[in-house]
Amino acid sequence: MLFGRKKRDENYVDLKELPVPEGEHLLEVDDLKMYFHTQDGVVKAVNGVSYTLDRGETLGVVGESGSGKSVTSLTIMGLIDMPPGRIEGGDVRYHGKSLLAMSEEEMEHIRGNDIAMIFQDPMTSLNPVYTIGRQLGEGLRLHRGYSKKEALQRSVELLDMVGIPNPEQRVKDYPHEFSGGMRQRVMIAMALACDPDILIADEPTTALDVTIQAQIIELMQEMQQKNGNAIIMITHDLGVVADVADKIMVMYAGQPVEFGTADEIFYSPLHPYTWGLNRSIPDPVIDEKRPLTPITGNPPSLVNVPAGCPFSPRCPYATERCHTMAPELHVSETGHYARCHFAGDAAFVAANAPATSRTRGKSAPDTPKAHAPRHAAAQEGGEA
Amino acid sequence: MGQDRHEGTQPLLKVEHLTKEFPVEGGVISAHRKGSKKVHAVEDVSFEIYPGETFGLVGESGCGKSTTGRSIMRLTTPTSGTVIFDGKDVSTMSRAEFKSMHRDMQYIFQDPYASLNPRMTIGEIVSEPLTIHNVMPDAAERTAFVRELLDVVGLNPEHINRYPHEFSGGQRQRVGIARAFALRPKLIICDEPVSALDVSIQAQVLNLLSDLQREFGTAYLFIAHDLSVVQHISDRVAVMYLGHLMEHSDWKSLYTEPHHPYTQSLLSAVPVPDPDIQHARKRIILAGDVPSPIDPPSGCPFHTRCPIAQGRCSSEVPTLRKVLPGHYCACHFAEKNPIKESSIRL
Repeated sequence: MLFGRKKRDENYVDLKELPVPEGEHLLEVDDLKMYFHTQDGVVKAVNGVSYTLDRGETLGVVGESGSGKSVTSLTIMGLIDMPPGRIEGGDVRYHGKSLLAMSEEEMEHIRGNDIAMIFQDPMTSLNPVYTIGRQLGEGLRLHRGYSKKEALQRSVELLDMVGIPNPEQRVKDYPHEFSGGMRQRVMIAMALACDPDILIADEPTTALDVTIQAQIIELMQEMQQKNGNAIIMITHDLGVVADVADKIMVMYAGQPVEFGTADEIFYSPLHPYTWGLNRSIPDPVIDEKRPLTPITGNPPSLVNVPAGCPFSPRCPYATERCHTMAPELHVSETGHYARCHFAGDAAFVAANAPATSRTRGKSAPDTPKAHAPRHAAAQEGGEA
Repeated sequence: MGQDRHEGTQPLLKVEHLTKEFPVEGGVISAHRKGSKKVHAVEDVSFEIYPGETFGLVGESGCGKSTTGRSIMRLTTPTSGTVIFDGKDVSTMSRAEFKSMHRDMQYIFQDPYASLNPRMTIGEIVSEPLTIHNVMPDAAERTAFVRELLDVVGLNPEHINRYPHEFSGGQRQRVGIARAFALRPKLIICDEPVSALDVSIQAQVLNLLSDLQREFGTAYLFIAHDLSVVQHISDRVAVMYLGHLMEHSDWKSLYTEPHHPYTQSLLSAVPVPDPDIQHARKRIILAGDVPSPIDPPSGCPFHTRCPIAQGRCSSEVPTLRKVLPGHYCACHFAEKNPIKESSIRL
């Protein structure tokens, strides 16, 4: 390069330029454990997360607040302060290379260049005192050694690509001059600036209205088709996941309780928590109102995770074994796994899984048999 | 169906031509200066709520749905229009009448963290309306009543002396609900009561609201942005956009036969949690953002983003008119709307 800033390491080869080694996946998370060591005790924020991701795929990560879905991605990106965080086990391999073993300098190459991230709140993730153009070009200048002029030129192209009208003028604007949906478009443009392999989107549409959400999701899918990148979509909205995900991981109390293809999770779910989520949301499709069957109680505190299966206090099917013994993963041939003692019991699953649009008409119960008492909510979480 | 069902019944709440404008520049003088800019938060909104029913008000952020609720409760004074509650005009009420009206009209707020005083125990919070209206002067009787009320909303009566911070979000919302029900009001305005809660907790609170309605016959004005939640809880639903009421009808007619292109695009934008159905649906993706309410478009407020807008839409404001029994829509082309045919329903 003739002018502009040079890369810090001329010999550095971008991992994303290399083919994924034989037998490896683009991203492999293998039994990842990350605990926070706090004054109140050990918070098991990420407790045995495993999944694989390939180019062009979208992984949906669902769970309620505090289930560890965001922290998992932050751990993969090396954005957790250590201490108080500490890796307690497992590995994250990108192109077959461990991200956890990389130096901070190597990670700086990865972040933004190979794996990029967008966040829920586009206002707080943009710097209010710099122009959009400068922020968009930052990654290009850093990772690609672009000059100021080149970076600005590319920024205009990027804004145009994500559908922002009049990009030549808009690059000179500041974040406050953009609406919420426009800012999220800028975030997507910024994340895709260096053509990353993986885009991690942490609740990217939660702060937006539905009509804008539809625009942003369409944009992300369009970009994925064009660039072939993988997407990790973290959300609490099962509708969004149904729309975009190829694979889904359901998280509860820091653990993935179920993982499988979108088909498996929506049409043959195995875990009672997945069933509970399904029954908790109003079904917008059917003509008559279906009563909601909420999950009783509250999610547990991660400092004080219940003994045995963490979901057992709220599970309508829990037995003595569930309260004392942590369940092992039940893995099917297709890689569909569930962390439940009864996941392998086909008769139990058939008798209790909720009806879906595929099974409706055939007989399947819509409500769990055992109804928890009305005060379950008060008794469990009162001391939270 | 819909309003026809209520023919002959006296509405509990009647909102007529409600308009609320906020001055943009601060200060007393500039607010009264002619030609100064205003936020047109609510524009000529009229609807009725009947005893014991749930009236859902949906719309995107900034559409004026909360301002409508606050204007009815007089938490903010409307610029013009009348609100008639239980046969009495709220705007001409004396202070005493106004206070007694609040016995029959209560409010549940969105944020269960900000709407409970952290220095009061939940017992004090729930019994405060009783104290203000001097309903139960006897302290022992009051305590017994509050304990019973906590039990009804699914909280442990033993926790009566605990403080709000000791409870989770869902439980705090239960406290807010107990407070709203303490006086057995005829109408409760629920302003996004479940949007701050996780899905599993959301379902608990929605079921609680339905149970209490069945028990006490309370009417709800249910304000929310989540279309599937509104569909689930409401008997009738109204859709707002930029301060205007675009369409209202009974829930089934609105969700299965939406006539307004805005309602249609709103419904089509909500992703359905079922991949088979979601992937097969037709979607209308609206271009652009909601225009600023400071400088709203002329004519139909939706014409700038409307997929079927024509010349007339930018000059003539459409009025709500009957398109089906009990189903009202403010669109010039409601009957001839081409999107209606192509099944965009949720």
